[in-house]
Parts: sequence; structure tokens; C-alpha cells
Amino acid sequence: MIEVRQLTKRYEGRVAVDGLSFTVRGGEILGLVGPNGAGKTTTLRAIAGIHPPTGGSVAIAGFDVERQPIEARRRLALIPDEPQLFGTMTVWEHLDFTARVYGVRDWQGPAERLLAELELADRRDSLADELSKGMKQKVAVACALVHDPQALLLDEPLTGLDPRGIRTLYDALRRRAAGGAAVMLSSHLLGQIEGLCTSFLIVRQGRLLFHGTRDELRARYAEEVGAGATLEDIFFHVTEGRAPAAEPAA
Amino acid sequence: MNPGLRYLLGAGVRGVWRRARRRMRTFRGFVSTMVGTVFFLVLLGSQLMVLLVEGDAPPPHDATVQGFCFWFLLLLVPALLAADAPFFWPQEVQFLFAAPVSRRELMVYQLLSRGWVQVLSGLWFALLTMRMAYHPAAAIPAVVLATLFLYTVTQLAALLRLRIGDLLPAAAGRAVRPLLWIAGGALGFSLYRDAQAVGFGAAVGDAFDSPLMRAATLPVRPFGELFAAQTTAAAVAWTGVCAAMVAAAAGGALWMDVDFRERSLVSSARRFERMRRIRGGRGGIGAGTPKNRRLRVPAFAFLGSAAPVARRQAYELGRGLRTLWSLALPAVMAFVYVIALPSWMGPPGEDGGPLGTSLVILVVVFAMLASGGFSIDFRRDVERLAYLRSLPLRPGAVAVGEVFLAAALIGIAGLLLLAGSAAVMDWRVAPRMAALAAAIALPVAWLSVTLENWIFLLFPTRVQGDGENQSSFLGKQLIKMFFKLCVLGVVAAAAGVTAVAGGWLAGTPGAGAGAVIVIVAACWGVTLLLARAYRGFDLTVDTPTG
Repeated sequence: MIEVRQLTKRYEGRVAVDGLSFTVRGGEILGLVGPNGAGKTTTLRAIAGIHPPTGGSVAIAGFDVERQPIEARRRLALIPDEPQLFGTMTVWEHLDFTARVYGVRDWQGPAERLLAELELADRRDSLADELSKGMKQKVAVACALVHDPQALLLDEPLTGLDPRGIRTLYDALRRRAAGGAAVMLSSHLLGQIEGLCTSFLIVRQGRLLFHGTRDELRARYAEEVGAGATLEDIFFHVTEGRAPAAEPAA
Repeated sequence: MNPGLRYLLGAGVRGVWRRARRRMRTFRGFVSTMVGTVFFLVLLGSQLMVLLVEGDAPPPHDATVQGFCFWFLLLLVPALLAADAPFFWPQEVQFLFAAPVSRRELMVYQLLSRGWVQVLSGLWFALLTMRMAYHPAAAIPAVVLATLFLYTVTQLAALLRLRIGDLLPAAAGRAVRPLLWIAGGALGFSLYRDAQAVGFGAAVGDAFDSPLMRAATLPVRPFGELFAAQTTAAAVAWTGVCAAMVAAAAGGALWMDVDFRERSLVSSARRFERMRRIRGGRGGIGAGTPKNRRLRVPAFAFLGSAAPVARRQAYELGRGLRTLWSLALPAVMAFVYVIALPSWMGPPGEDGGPLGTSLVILVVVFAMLASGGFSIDFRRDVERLAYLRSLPLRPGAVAVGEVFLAAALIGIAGLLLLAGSAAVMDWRVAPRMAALAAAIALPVAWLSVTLENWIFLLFPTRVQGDGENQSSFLGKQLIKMFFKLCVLGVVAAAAGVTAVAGGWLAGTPGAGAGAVIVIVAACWGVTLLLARAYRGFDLTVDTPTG
């Protein structure tokens, strides 16, 4: 569903993303992890077509993000780390607006179900200004899901969510993945996403250090950090330079 | 156009009403809305009354055209120079940049969603300037279309800049600004040389009518012609020309399919952050990127427990000296309005003599204008109020520490402006009035800054992100200006009466002492009000953390 080939992004001479290649298939939940400044947000924005790549290509469901931007964007959704809503629009109006932007017909039924799923049904007519940060994040998620995207990109989605909110979001993401969507999320909360993601992409300074499934990740570094190591242990081992850069496993 | 964008345009307009309705539910919001409405009606009524009653001869056509074009150019040139990638609010970036919306559709949305705010702003300006037009009705399309043109041509310039910037070497782009400064300096020097020979007023008049100025104002002349139109036919014809110019600029912006999204994302985030930092809504030159430089900052020990707060302001100012530029525009405006224009339009000074009352007015006008934009005080620190509250300081000390530096710098800048104006007029000044103007520079600055902060803490401005701030911005500024003027007037009247009484009782020393006591008491009283407003500021309501 998401195909990234030799993606490179340079800003004024600085390389933010350096020749990344990977694929996220339908049903897969990929965790994009790396230290600050690793190029995670740039990668997600390049996949969403916001940052035109300096080199390489990105395709969403077979549509090239540069050459067929409208078709590609119709099939993806990006949820940024800081939820920004229109203060004087209600929750329901946000869904209405998003459905119109993406050209979704008969969106009311699925939207009702989304609100119930994300525990927002009783806040349907609240103005965005009246919501807490966690609620706003949930509304952003609901808006991203209303057009049933085939590729779902989430940048630090757990910021501001309480434990119940995190569980609700996880359930929603798992359901979308089970329905065939390709999900890609970046996060610093390694312990939180360890159980959610089916595969991982570890980057540092824009370069790929590891790409593979959870089992492949453990197997790859079992000898160096121990069989019972957590994702956090492996992350430090890989990103702090104690492990050699690995060839992509997938 | 994408149906979602159409929906969003409607939601933007609805949002303004919703926010207004919600504001009316609180006492504070109700009061501010009522004051705003009454002020608007009074302004409208006074303009209409003057139009009905005034029987003055209509202004000369050519001078009106040239005057309008000159002022328009003064707004247009900085706007074109500062033109950056189209600005989008964070919400728009989140919902629209990754959506299936083409760049052209985004640009249409940009122009329409900001366009109606520009029309409202234009109507405001038209209301204020219609008395200067031959036909007041012609002023409305002239100013509205000029405001729209200013906006659309700035968007076009921004896109052109993006396109050309990609083709030109970076050094060429960097050279533009210094070249403009050199050109501006050369023009200023030439004006000064002329003023030495024929007098300042005549020199300004000559510059105004010079071929160079006529050539520079030529592109915007249709707006001047519309403003000064003397017949209905002329007004209709020039309205058509001006509307075509607006349409051409908008069409150009739409036709130029530049990929602005990435640069808009970066520049909009930077601009929004700047807006948040200065909160008052002025944006622009007031807040640059902080520079990490070693600083030696005065201890301000004489301020007692307020000193650390004042020192912190000084540190922040030292690392962002660009903030001082926000004093330049009020200085130029005050000088042009109070000294240059009267000097050009009539004999220099009062009754052809030296400058007197003008110097006092200059200091007052400058302090009132500068205190609105030079916000190195509570307005900049509104995000830090929780921290300030945690400090073991009395509210009065925090209030003094917050406003001290801004007031002192505006006072000093007022004194420099006074000296500069006197120098330009060859020191033809009335010594007693000049001394009075110098004496009141600091107290007036203190009163202006303190009142500005007091109003801000009572009615804090929040950057909302839906354009409402811009539409009501001018109105708020006018109300604040009016309020500050009233307070300064009351203080001046009280000081005058006390001075007369003191003079009657104990001669000149008594008059001076009486005036000083009243002015100091006024500064003290307003500072106490500010401290009270700071103590009463509700952090949960006014700076919600979400």
C-alpha cells in the first residue's frame, strides 16, 4: 500500500532523509522510530506529499504522490503530533467538512460509528475550543478515518492521550489494519508501541538502520542485547552506535 | 472548487458569529462588545454628521490623488518586500495540505477566505478616510478595492518570489534589501538637502510632486483617481479599472502554479509562532529569532524587588534587538502627521513661528502609537504568567518590572524623536514648550504602556486562527487609542488645574510641584490598577493549556 523507493529529502544542503526504501503492506502496522532529528516527521510528510522529495519516489496504493497527487491523497490520511482543529466548528462539523474534502458520500452512518468507537459520541456538538487536548487528538483521528484511508500515517499520535485514549486508539488502528489499511506511526514512547506494531523501521540522521518485523528485530539483535531485550533496549543499542547498520530485512 | 473548501469558507464566517455570541455570555465579553459597538456607532455618526454639516471647499483633485497614492505606496512597498509564501493557519495546514486538494484550489480558498476580512478592513479604513474624498461614496470602493489589491498583489509577489528565488542565486536575493535601504537613505538625504535650501514644508511638497514620485505612484494611480473622482461616471469607470487590477492580481496568483505548500508550511509555522509570542496580534517586525549573544544587562537595583523581572525583559530584548524596529514606524507616523504634514501644508510651526505645542503633541502621539506595538511586557509574557505567579513577588513589583523597560525605551525614543524633529526644523522651537515636551516624555510613555497592559490583562487577545483577530483588530486598536487619549486628557487637565492653583498659591515652583504631584499620582494609580488586573487574571480562562 505504501511504497517508498530511495526517498531523499535535503533542506538547504542538510540531508533530512537519505535514500530510504521500504514498503508497508495492507494489514501491517509499522512503527517508525528514531532519536530526535532522525527525519521521522519529514518522512511522514514526504509520504503525504507535503514535502516534495529531493530524490526517489513514494506511491500510495499504486499512485505516485508527485505525479498523481490527488489520487494518492484521496487514499491516505496524516495525523500530526499536535492536533489543530477549527475552534468554532463542532466535532460533527469537522467530520462533515472532512467528508466533503475527500468526496465521501453517505458518511453520516460511519461517522456516528467512529464517534462511538472513539468515545466522542456525547461531544458531537461541542465546539473544538471546548475540548481537551486528548479529545482534540481523538477528533483528529476520527477525521482521518472518516474516508476510510488505505494508508494511515500518524506522527506521535499518543501525545496528550490518557491510558484509556491510547487503548481506544490502538483498537481503532488494529481494526483499520485488519480491514486492509497500511498503518505507519512514529513515536518516542517505545514501550507503548511495542505491542501494537507488527514491524519496525529504525532511522538515525535520515538513514535506515533496521526494517523488519518484530520477530526479525528481536532475532537480529538477540545475540547482542539478549533474548529478553525490550524494544527500548534494542533502540538504544542500534541508535547509539553500538550496533552496526543492518541491511533491510524486508 | 473542492466542496470541503466551500464548506470551510462558510464555517469561517459562521465562526466569527459563534465566537461573538460566546463572548457575549461573559460579563467581560459583553462589556467589550458593547463598548466596541458604541464606539463604532459614535465614529460612524460623527463621520456622517461632519459630511452633512461641513461646508468646506472640496480638496483639490491632483493633491488628493497624489496623497492617496503616496499613502497607498507606503503600505504596498513594505508588504511586497515582506511577501512570503502564502500563510495558512495550523488547522488549515493539518486538514488541507495532505488532502486531495490541488494547489490552485488551495490558492482560491486562500484568496476568498482572507478576501472578506480584507473587505471589512477596507470598509473600516473607508469610514475613517471618506471625509478626505471629493465624493464620500467614492471613498468606499476606492479604499476597499485598494485593500483587496494590496492583499492579492502581495500573494502574487510571494509566488513570484518563490518561482524566481528558485532560479536566482541566493546572493541576488540577499542584495535586494540593502539596495533598498541605500535608495531610501539617498532619498532621505536628498530631501534633507532640499529642506536646507527651501525649507522643510516646501521640500516635502516638491518631493511629493516630483517626477520620480509621480512615476512611483503611477501603478496605483487608478485607486487615487477613484478616491478623488468628482463625477459619478468617473467613479464608475475607475471602479472598473481598479476591480480589473484586483482581478488581474488574483488571476496571476492562481495562474502561477508554484508549489508553495512546503514553504508555506515552514513560513506559516514561523509566523504563527511569532503571533503567539506577541499575542497582541501585530505580528511582523516585532519579534525576530532570538540571537544567542553574551549580554551585559543593567541591574536596575533602584527598582527593588521589581528589578529581576525588568532584567529578564532586558535580557530578552538584548537577544532580539529587532524588536526595537517596532518603534520606528510609530516614530515615522508621528513625525509625518504632527510635524511634516502641517509644515508642508501650511507655514512652519504655529503662526509661522517656531514649533511649540506640536512638540508636546508629537511626544503624546508617539507614546500612544508605540505602546500598542512595542510589547516587551505582559503581552509578551502571557504564556509565562503561571511562572510569574509562582515567584515570591508582590503583584505591584511584577507589574513595575514588566512595564519598566518598555516605558523607559518608549520615553527615551520619544526624547530622541523630539530632538530629531527640532534638528530637522533647524532648532526653531519654543524653549518652554520643548522643555515641557521633554519633561512629559517619560510619564506619558509610562501611562501609555501601563494602560495598554491593563487593557490587555482585562481583555486578553488570543491568536485563534480563523481570521477573527484581523477583522476586529483595527476596531480594538482604535478603541484602545481612544481610551488612552481620554485618560491622558484627564491627567493633563488635572495637572493643568493643579498647576494653575499651585501657581496662584506659590508662584512658578508651586505650579510645577502641583503638576508633578498629579502626574506621579496618575502613574502610581495606573500601576496599581495594573497590579490588580495581574492579580485577578484568571489563568484557567485566559491561558488555557488544553
